[in-house]
Amino acid sequence: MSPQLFLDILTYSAMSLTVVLSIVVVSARSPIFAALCLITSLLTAAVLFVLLKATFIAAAQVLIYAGGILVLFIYILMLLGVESSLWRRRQKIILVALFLLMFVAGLLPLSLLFGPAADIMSTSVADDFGTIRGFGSLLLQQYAFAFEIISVVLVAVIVGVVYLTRKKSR
Amino acid sequence: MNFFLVTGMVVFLIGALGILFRKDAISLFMCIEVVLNGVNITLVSFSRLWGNMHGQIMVFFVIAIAAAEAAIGFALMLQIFKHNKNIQLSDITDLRELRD
Repeated sequence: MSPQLFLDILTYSAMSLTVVLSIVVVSARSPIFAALCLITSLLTAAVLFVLLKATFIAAAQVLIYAGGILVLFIYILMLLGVESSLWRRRQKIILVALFLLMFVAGLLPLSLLFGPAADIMSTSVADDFGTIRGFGSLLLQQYAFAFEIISVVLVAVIVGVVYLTRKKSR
Repeated sequence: MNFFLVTGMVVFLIGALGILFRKDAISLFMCIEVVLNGVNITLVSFSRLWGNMHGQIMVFFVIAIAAAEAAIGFALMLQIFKHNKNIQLSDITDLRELRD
């Protein structure tokens, strides 16, 4: 098997898995199953990021998203015990119709804009594209202010969460 | 037609429709994560297409904001669960009584 064919198979299977798992997340009856499918969908999206040469983002996706945020989801699911919800038949039909409508409405402008000529994978990029080195130098030079703002936001979130969940002392 | 962009758009649409139709708050949050995932795929695709890394920086910020949003959302959900004994969105009608 040639490397290009292997890469193509990997790309298309990661894409279709991401889409199918997202559908399962939205339509699954059991919330815990939906959360597990969401983790898998984020992992296949990380495979797509690696194929697009965004290796640091792929690592952050696996570590922070799949490892941190989704574990929080499952923790909350087990703590609160959400019962599974059923979909009605009419809802399903409306859902599929809306999806097709929005797909056509979004796909037509997109295909007019980029056409078959724009092939993302074949454009050449710099050596440090997507690595921690390139990412870090851009983040800490051009985006240093936004980076600091994000840290302030996260501190505010921590204070807010502690305030919301504390026990009344009186 | 570029399939990376199509994947991002389809994932975004699936998540958006899920937000419209799900009934409980945790499923809604999972649909929001699906939407953000679609946005991330699109941003990384455009970053690769144009050969600069600004899109990836934006994905990094999206991940940070998603973590913050999930933490705040779950703290609120815990309080609502203590008050209402469930987290169905249709039962959340009163925010004023929540701190009692």
